[in-house]
Amino acid sequence: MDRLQAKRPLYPLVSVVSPLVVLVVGLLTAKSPCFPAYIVAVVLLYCAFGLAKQAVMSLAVFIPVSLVFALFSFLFQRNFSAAGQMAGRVILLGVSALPMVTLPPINLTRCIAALGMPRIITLGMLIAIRFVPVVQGEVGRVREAMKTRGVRHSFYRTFAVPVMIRLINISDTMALSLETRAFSTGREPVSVYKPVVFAARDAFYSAAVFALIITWVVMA
Amino acid sequence: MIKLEKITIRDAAFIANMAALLFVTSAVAMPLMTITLFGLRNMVTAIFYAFFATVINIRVHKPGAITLLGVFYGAILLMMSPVMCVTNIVSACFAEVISLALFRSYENTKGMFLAPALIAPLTLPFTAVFSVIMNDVAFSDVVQSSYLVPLAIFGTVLLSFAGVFLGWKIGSELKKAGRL
Repeated sequence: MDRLQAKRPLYPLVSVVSPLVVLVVGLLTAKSPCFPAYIVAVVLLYCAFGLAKQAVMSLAVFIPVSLVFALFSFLFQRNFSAAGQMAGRVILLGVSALPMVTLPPINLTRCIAALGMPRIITLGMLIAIRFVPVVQGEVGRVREAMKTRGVRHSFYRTFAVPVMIRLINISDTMALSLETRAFSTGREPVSVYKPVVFAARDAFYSAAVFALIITWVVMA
Repeated sequence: MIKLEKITIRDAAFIANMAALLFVTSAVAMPLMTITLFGLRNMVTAIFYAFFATVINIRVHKPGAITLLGVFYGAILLMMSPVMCVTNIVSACFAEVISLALFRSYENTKGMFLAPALIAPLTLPFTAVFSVIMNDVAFSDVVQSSYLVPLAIFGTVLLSFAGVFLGWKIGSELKKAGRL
């Protein structure tokens, strides 16, 4: 996921809301004959705001996937137009999420913490996002241990139980270290380290998305 | 009255870890993304969702725990698919509301197990709505697209309850051993 992160990410709330607007408007107007132009405009807009590399990577994945969906659609409906629309929707689904995908999780956490979101949610979100590789590592270690001991067919006793116990230990240790560092869920005043601010670039981006949506709705 | 208890840092850390584990195990459904059969992905992830939610309820058993699982899992999914994120958060929230409305608290064993069992089946209506918009077809077309759809829906419900049973089994064992 880190490979996809933008060098200059947009303001987190803008990164979350704008893809949803772009996707919903796109899906509702996908029958328009100019729908490919909308996708191209969205991609160009993202490229203009520093997401060119990520857009190419996303297209490289979603174009083949969209072709599979289009093939299924054609096989079921025997309609080229419907298959084309299906491909367009799948590409839009992948491409529209780019600002969200390229957003560093810490920026989102800092932003919603600064906006007064309960600390239990911001903290939990950060732990959940950051712990995916750790959990993957633990699962891998338990599987390695199973292989070393020559265990193949005992899922419950040799895999599920050790993974759960390991994860419970990790979460207990983490909770203890959070408490010793004075993290709490109370209403004590807190400061946000490196707060994320809404910059002029974010305003330009928001205006550009708004203009694109209005133009597209008028055209479609 | 629903008895509200404060979720502690310890609870949040545990739920967040379980959300990460849920994401890792649910990754088995990723290759199914290319199969358009309605309900198939929900069916595959149902057992994991129910399993981890049950383990969370056995340890935390406080109102809000299942919603928090949905929020934390949704936060991971947000980086990949906003639609899945919204679907998971809303269905977890609904499952908790229904369970608490019926049983008032998680002190009751039935309430503790009902919420986890409801999460995956509740994702089905949201997936159907998304499929209607995405494929631009009528709701009946989505549900009646294949004779396998009722099977997938039934499988989702069945695997949810199987997940709850597995979660209860492992959770009871871990509780007995003093780990939960």
